[in-house]
Amino acid sequence: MDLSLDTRNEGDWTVVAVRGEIDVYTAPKLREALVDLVNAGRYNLVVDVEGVDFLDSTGLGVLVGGLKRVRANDGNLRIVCTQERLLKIFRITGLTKVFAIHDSVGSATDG
Amino acid sequence: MPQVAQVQMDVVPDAAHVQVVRLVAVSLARLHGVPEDVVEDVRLAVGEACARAVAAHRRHDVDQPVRLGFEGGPGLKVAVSDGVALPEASGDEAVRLLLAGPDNRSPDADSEAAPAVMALLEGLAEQVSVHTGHSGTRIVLGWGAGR
Repeated sequence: MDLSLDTRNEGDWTVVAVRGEIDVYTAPKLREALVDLVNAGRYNLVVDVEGVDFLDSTGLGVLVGGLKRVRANDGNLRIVCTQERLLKIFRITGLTKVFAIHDSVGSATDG
Repeated sequence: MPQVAQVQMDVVPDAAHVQVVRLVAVSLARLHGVPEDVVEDVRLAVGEACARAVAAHRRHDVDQPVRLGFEGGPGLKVAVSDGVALPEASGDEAVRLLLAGPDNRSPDADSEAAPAVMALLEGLAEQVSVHTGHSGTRIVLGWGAGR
């Protein structure tokens, strides 16, 4: 089971492209990456989950934790997701009201 | 297609094993005629219930395995049982105990997990029943077969 992360800066934004499965086993790796970015002063994050095959509540918890951390520094965390099965998870848990969910990285980093 | 089937698993409480449980759940859902567009719901819900139980065992230093029972044909029923004692309750009261219990607090500060887990179970499974007791919590999830 693997989770891979590819991080790049686009202007004021840092884009974290995630591939694989974000679950109870792999989510700590994503948490660590988001914490490291915030500690490095990157407060405007885009988490691109277009390459994610599976996302569970632990993964959602890590994303919410990341959002709290960047907001504490007047930053933001936006999600890029067009996969219906993942969007369904955000909807069921009410997180579509919490996250700005964009259909592309370009849209997420615009403004 | 088998009319009745029983598969039981004892899972050592390790997060790495939850993926294995998800794979078994998906295989059995397909075997017992759960519609393909619902199989993804089975994967996520059974994974959530198992991950919750594994986390409960780890938090309470319970070494015994998490138990899963799969009953198929037609459709699939999955029972996930942990060994962490709670007061005896069923239904909404049992859900309230799970949400209020220590499992609502993750070792890290990121936990929004317990409300999300219950929302996902109720949102993804066609039938959900929760029973808590001195021998632990039992969550049963069910899906029907396609027509």
